[in-house]
Amino acid sequence: MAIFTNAPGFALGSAANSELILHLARDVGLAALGLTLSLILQIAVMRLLQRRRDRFSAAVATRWRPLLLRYALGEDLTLPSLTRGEEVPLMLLWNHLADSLRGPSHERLGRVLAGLGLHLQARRWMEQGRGKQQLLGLLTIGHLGRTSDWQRVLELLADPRPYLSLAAARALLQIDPVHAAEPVIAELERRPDWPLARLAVLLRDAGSAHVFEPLRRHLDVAEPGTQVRLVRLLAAVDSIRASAALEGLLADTADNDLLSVCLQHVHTPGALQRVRELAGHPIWWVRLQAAGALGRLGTPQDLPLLHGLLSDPQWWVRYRAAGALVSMPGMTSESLTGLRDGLTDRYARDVLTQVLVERKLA
Amino acid sequence: MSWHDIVAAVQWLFLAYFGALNATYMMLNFSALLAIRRDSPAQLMADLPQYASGLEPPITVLAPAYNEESTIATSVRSMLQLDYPAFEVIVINDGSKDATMQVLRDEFSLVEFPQAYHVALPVAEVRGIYRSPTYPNLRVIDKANGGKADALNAGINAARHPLFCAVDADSILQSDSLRRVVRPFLEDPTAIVSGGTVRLANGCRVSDGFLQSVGMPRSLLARVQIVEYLRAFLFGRLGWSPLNALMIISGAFGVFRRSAVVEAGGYRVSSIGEDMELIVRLHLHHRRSGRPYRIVFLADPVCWTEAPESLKVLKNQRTRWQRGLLESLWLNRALLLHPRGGAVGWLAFPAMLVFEAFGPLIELLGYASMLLGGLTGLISWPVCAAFLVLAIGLGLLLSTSALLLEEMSFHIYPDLSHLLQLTAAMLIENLGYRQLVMWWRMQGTVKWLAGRPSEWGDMRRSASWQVPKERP
Repeated sequence: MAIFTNAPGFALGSAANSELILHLARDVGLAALGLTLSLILQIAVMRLLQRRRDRFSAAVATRWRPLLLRYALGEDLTLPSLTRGEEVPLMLLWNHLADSLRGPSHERLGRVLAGLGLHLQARRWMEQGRGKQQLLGLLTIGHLGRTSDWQRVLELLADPRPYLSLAAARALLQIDPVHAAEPVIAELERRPDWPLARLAVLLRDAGSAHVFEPLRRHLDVAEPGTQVRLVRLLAAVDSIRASAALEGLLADTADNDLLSVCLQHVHTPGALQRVRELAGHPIWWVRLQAAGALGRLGTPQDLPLLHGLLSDPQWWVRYRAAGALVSMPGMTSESLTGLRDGLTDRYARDVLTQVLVERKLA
Repeated sequence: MSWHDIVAAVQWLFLAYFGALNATYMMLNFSALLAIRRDSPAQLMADLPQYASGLEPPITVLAPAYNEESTIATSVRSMLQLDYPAFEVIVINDGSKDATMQVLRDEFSLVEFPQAYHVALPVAEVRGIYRSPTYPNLRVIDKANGGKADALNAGINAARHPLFCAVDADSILQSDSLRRVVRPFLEDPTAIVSGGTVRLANGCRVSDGFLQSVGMPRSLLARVQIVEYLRAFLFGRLGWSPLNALMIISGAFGVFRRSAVVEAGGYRVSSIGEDMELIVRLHLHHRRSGRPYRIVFLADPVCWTEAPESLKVLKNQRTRWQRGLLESLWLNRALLLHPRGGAVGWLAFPAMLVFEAFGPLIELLGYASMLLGGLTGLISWPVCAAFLVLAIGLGLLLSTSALLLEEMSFHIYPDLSHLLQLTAAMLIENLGYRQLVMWWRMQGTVKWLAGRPSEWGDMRRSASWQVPKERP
């Protein structure tokens, strides 16, 4: 095909060259259009299948939710047998319910699953499944809490995929919190990819009686970076016992991040002297937390210290010191207003005025 | 060299450009696909009942507002209903000329608040700070007009929490969006920014701050933009995120570590694309200092916003975006091929420069040279047609693959009719719309080169998707 009118037969503008361009552009373009069509078809098929799955899941939920709840709440029922394909949506529904129930209801819910033979399916998925299926199996095994599954779950604790290893940690703590605490906490030291908030929830669910001491033991020997995580977890698990445990750490450490996080969580009088010292720390975020701690622990003797922090060069320290002053026992609106009116530093006065109004509006 | 040689060289250049452009987008598509597949099982856990741990960092939601009287009350109500353990909302009225401030006063019974205002970042005059007795976690800053960046800086100054979430005041956040978008900060201490997906609220039903149902907009222009947003967010951003090479987190929805932003100097007030400029500057700042950091995009936290439904407003928006892009790249050009630039300096920045900054020029030149060549007889019509098939075919393929990613992950648009409408919109996007947007972007480039002052233009919202609040 002649592409160029009067096309000369050489170099870039040659007919052969333009033929090549024509074919390349046309063929790639047509291939892209063909692929587009096939993708649209694929999307349509996916959409139809998804709609079918959604409808089926809704039907499973309508059928099983009342039965599972009635059984969990103590009613003796003869459960219907499973129909084909109900396993996945039923197990998802079961996990949602199991996550919301505690005590005997939770145990009875476990019996339903065993009665339907789904505990074996869950184990199979945990051992041989992939992706979502494996995770669903593992979550279910955790809720069932059978010690016979311990070893296999323990192997998954070191899985490189954070969602799976974290689910394994949760399952271990559900199966046997006494023995799970040690390996889970040892693993969490190696796993910066485990979300702290989720860890805190599952350690708290396992019960402070089982996890507090192992956490504290690891805290004593961990690196400062890990110690910061462990302090947060310790406080999330049992804030009262954590405070006493943190007094020693607060006295010994020089790591600023660790000092800061310990100050956030101490509220026992034994720490007061150290808190007072740290109110003059050169790092502002340490002073910030010291001001907060003084608000919780301080005595009237600490008023001059807080007074001084109201004029700190950092706004955040001033603000926290004002909050601490307002929350100290015995500080009435009158005494605080009097204190504010006597301040010569404008920044100190402004921040105290703000906090006083905040308290009034709260 | 003859005219034929020149024309052939242009053709090859155009082909090579198209090849590189689409290969890059396909790579991003693949990267996004992997990210979706990797995160898909974890979604199962995220969908189970969530309990607060007490460790979630408190967040300040910053909503700069300029002439938002029609949407501000709904948006603020939606923000106040967020499902998150500890957050405050600061609305910054940036010298609105309409009744935005009055609406806020009336709806939230604002009272003046004597805040000890902390000037970490210089901003235009703050006229007053207000607080709502009904909603203790709501504050409003009333300030002289200084632009969106200035308003955000004022909000950062007043923020009480270590993280802030910048949202557009006309946006609706999904109730669990903060809980989802904050995940990177819980998992990684080096995270400094995390952004979520922005979807279009046109056609959806929003009542009293809540998204009631998802729908397709009647406006064809808005529908085409849905496809565009899918492309931009589902593989544009999800693709770059695993490489820590994201060049933009939408100003409509992103969470930032306050200290990192203050350290970098806050939002650049003179900038017209302040959201992108800040992200590129944060990259440069951290790359230069050699400190580890992460800028993350997550697809599941969703924020809904209104797309322009008139060509005039859309044109304003797109020329502004193009100028913002050029400005961000120019101001932070030191990041380009920086020895410590990593994936962002060596991949994302050059890709952005070639395909987004110069893209409109190259593509329009390509179309123009084809047309001119066809008319003058230098290029035969079959070649012109082949190029058109190529451009449209690859464009459609990319849009469809974004739709496929959406189907594999979120399927927000549930009806089969939605799918048909989106498919039709995809055709229109590639047959005229994209070329029109390229033209506007080209105009944006010319304006930027000419150094014309930046302006927001008319961005009035219709808020047609809001169901009016029922009065007793």
